[in-house]
Amino acid sequence: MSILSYKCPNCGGELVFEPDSGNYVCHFCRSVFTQQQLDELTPKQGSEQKIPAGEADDAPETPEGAGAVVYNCPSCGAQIVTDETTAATFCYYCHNPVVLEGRVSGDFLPDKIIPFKIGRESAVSKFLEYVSKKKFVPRAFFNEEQIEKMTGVYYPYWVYNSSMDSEIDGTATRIRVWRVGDTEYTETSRYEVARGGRISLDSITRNALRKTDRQLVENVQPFDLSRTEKFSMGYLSGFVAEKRDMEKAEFSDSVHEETRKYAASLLKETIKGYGTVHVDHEDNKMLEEQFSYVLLPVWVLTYRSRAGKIFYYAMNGQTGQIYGELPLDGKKVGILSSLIFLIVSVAAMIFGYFM
Amino acid sequence: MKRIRKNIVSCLCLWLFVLTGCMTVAAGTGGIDDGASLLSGSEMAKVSEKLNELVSETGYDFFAVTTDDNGGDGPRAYAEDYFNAHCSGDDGAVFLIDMGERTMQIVTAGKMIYYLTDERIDRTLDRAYDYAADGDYAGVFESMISDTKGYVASGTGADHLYNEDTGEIIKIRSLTFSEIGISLLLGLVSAAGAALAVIASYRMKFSKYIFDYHKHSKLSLSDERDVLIGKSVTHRRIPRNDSTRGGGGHGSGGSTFHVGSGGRSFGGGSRKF
Repeated sequence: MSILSYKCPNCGGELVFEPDSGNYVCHFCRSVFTQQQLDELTPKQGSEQKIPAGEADDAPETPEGAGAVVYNCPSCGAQIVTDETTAATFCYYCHNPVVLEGRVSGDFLPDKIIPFKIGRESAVSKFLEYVSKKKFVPRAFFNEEQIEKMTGVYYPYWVYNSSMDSEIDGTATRIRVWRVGDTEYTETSRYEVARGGRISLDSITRNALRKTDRQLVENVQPFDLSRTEKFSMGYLSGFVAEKRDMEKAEFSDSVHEETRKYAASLLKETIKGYGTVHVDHEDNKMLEEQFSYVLLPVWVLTYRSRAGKIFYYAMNGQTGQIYGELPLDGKKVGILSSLIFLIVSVAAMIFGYFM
Repeated sequence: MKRIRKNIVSCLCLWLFVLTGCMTVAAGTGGIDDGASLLSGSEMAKVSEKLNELVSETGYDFFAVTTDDNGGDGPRAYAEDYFNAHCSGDDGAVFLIDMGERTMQIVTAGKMIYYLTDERIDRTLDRAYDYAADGDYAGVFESMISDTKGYVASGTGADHLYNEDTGEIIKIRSLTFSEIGISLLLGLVSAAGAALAVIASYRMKFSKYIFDYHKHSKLSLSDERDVLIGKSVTHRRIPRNDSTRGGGGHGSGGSTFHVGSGGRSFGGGSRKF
């Protein structure tokens, strides 16, 4: 297990992945390198020691009390402390990006990754654009200076695909009504219906990091999972990355349940032309299933209001979709409410008057 | 000579007075005219008292009239003429007992057309009928007068007018207090709903993301079975809506009127006894 950082062959500065271009850029001399060129480089290595729980004086306690791991930064030699799950981060002292190779290799080697498509500046401007369009936010609430922290994070996910043979059966009714003179006739036809077939489902996604703020991270989906890339450690340079701490077994039940639900719906949707349909019985046989371990990009933003309250936002690093609680301008909501009150009341009165 | 001139002058004045028709005066007038001598002295006093109460409460003109001979044009025309001849304003009613045709007749004018709708007149005549059948003609009037009082107190009952001559239905445009109340309530509910929707959306109370399983699935159907297992037929008789109401069958809330004697619009109704 080692800690790496990618160095520019021209000047020795740090290389970081630039989302906008998809290339690697040196912070000092601005040289640009492609993925291919990066793969040919040998990253600089630092050293790492694992400290058993309780022994380290200067290692902060993680919530689980599990051992923190201490690494030495390849650039400045300072000790870097990270969580068990952090796979890429920045040196606390010299701010150079580092990749903890051991946490993204072997069993933890991601099958796929979606590299960041939106760079930092782009993300900031997209964010400000998004909030400026929101009509009930206090005017001039959002400005760039108050963005306290903006971190690009690769979160770990399990992506589940499966194919199964499914069948459902039940009863359905169809009604026909006609009139002869003063009498109304109702004919009810009852049917036994069954549907079966092969169903394949893909891209069922589960976040595999226990400490994540699920609501934030889940709601910036969907990611376009057809645009994944083969994993390369270089992508993590300049970003934070976390490895998983939840295994596929933990999600097995929930993905099976979800898949079953979709299969039943898909089949039920093919039963058409009836007044009522009632499914009595369903059966599923799993043919193939596959869990892929994927790293997906999310910009995590902390915003501090002038009053001191902190707001958290997440932005999908591929599509730009934003999620997070917005501050409310009570006055604007009040104005909207009053307007609606007036319009509806007056309309109803006019209606009542003419009826 | 002087006497004749005085008479002519007074006659002329009388004529003038009658010719100018009804002048709108603030207070209404009322009166009993027992042409058919159906009421005793005390009965007349009682009915008169009730009538005057009605007059002073509403400010309209009300008359209780009995006759043996309506002059051939029917009780309705007779009552209308009576109203025209004795009214002081444009609003009021005449309660007529016509012994010649054995008919109870009510005619309404002006605002009374709105208070005494077809349905209300029907009910009033229903109740009065019992008295008429017993020969209690004072009772007839008292019943009619007290019913009328009640209806005036409960407000106008008409939501549309029906012109008998032309068949035209005139909707009455009005805004009752309850309608205003409901409108305001609707407004409040909508406003609150909108505010809550914005607040909830800004506070991120709801999950925005729902997996689009249609986009991410493939179904190849291999088994499709639809088997008819039974049919059953039931039938029922459709209840027919009887249009019982006369005068156009427009249901309650309607008040029928026509252009009657003197060019005035009259409403009302009658019942034989």
